[in-house]
Amino acid sequence: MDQTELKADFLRTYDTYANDIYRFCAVKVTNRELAQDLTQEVFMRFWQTVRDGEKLRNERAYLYTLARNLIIDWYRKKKESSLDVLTDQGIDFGNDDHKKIEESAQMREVLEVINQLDDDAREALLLRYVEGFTPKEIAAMSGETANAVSVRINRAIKKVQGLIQAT
Amino acid sequence: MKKFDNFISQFTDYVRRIQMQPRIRDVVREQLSAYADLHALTEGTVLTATRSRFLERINVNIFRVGFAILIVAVGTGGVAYASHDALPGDTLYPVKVGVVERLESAMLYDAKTRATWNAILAERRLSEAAALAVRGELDEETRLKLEERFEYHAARSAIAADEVRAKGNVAVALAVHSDLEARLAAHADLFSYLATEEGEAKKMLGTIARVRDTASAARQKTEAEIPGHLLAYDADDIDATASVTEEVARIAQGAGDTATGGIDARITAARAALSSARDSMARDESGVAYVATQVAARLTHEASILSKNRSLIALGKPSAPSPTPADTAAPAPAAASVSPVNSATMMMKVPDVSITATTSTEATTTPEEESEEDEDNAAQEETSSRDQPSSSESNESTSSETSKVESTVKKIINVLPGI
Repeated sequence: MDQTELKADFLRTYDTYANDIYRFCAVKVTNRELAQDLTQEVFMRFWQTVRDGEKLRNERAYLYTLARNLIIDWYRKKKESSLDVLTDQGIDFGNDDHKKIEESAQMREVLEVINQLDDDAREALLLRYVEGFTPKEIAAMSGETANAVSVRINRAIKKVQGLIQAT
Repeated sequence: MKKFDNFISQFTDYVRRIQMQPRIRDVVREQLSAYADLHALTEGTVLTATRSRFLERINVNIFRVGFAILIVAVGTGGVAYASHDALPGDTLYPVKVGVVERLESAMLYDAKTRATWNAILAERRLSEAAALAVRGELDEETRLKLEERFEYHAARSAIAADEVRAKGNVAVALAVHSDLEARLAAHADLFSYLATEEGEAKKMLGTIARVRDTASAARQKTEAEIPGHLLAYDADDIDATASVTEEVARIAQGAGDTATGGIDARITAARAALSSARDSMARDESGVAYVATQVAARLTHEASILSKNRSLIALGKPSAPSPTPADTAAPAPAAASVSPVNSATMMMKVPDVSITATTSTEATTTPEEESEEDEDNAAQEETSSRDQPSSSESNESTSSETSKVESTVKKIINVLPGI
């Protein structure tokens, strides 16, 4: 595979996962523009890894790992508000019914619950339920054991259940 | 548990709807493509991925020009610096937009700074297009690429300005919205001089005017939110802006060329706005005074940009420019129809953020932005030499420097194995 073919594959990977990585970043940093920058940086680093000939088992998981690490770096510098900011800033939805979603009382309740979760719990739910990763895959991203991740997910579930009961 | 399942279902549904704007996604894709070219695979790279389609088997090759340029760019700050002069089609242009600007952009997390920086990059793309148009080298493909990048940066500047506003810093948001508008309005005028009948410059002018109108609407919307009284705003800030306006007027004075009309009209309107600002301040309406001062600042900034590009304008067709109504109309003190510039450049204290007051010799730039402005106008200055007796000498000097760097790059490419 030469540079041209490899680059074409790289861009196909981007086409496949750009929205996933952007979404992950957007939820984590609650800032649309920063999420765009982070997404671009993720794929630049991905290309560097490919170019350096590193051995990867799961490109999707690797992309999330890169995103996660970049976000951690960013959080060390600055931390911002809540998921509400996403809607306040007019975060981009894939279709035009976001107003309907925002206006939904149910969705508002969901956001209220999510905003009360700490970062670990929010990330656990995001990766497990929205992105569909297994605890083992999440563990590979975070450097934890699968058991530790499962515990984190369970704590998040209990926290959510407690918050739901309270509402 | 059912409640939890419902919750997860709704949460998932909500989050999965979050997507990048298709246009932004395409622009990022293009940038990644350029990045991949610039960072091509090294010869002998072997990837032994076990599963990924993308990472399967590779025994590669290629060492492209871009990679050699990168080596030089990283190894010598001189190349990175020299790349600021590069235009589309030049060897160093990929270094300029793919490496230097990206590295600079990566440092910026503050929304106000990002807004200003993206406004600078938007203007930089326009300056490149103008320089190419004057040389007769602005073809359709290049125009479309520059337009895309220009619109991208303008959009990001506006988004960052809105972020500032969303955080309650309305005065600063007005300043950064105005900064973008000033750059666009001045370049719309510039292109109106350069545009020939149905050429690429004319098409570019249409795009600039459209984006400028959007920027103007955003600025007016923000302007309307400025409160009647701003605590930290005082008459000294008006004086600071006035001194900048007079400095620009002094530099532009007696040019006697095509651009003078546009510059003079702006200086006159800026003075009127400053007078109005003083009246408002006397009535203790500091918010209104701030808006009027911003109008003066914007007009001054536009005059400054036009002044810097006078020799370039002289090379274009000698027809009348088409400034926006807001440019030429006598600015009103009220917040409704007037437009500020650049308090990022025009330095004013605002209630929630303090912006340093400085007057530079180039009139409308703060020290921190002065260097950016220098870079920003590097391409323009190849053809624009307001303060120099001979523009051709300047051009030759700059071209000579660039040629040296390009020559060095080519030598390195020739020496490196496997290229």
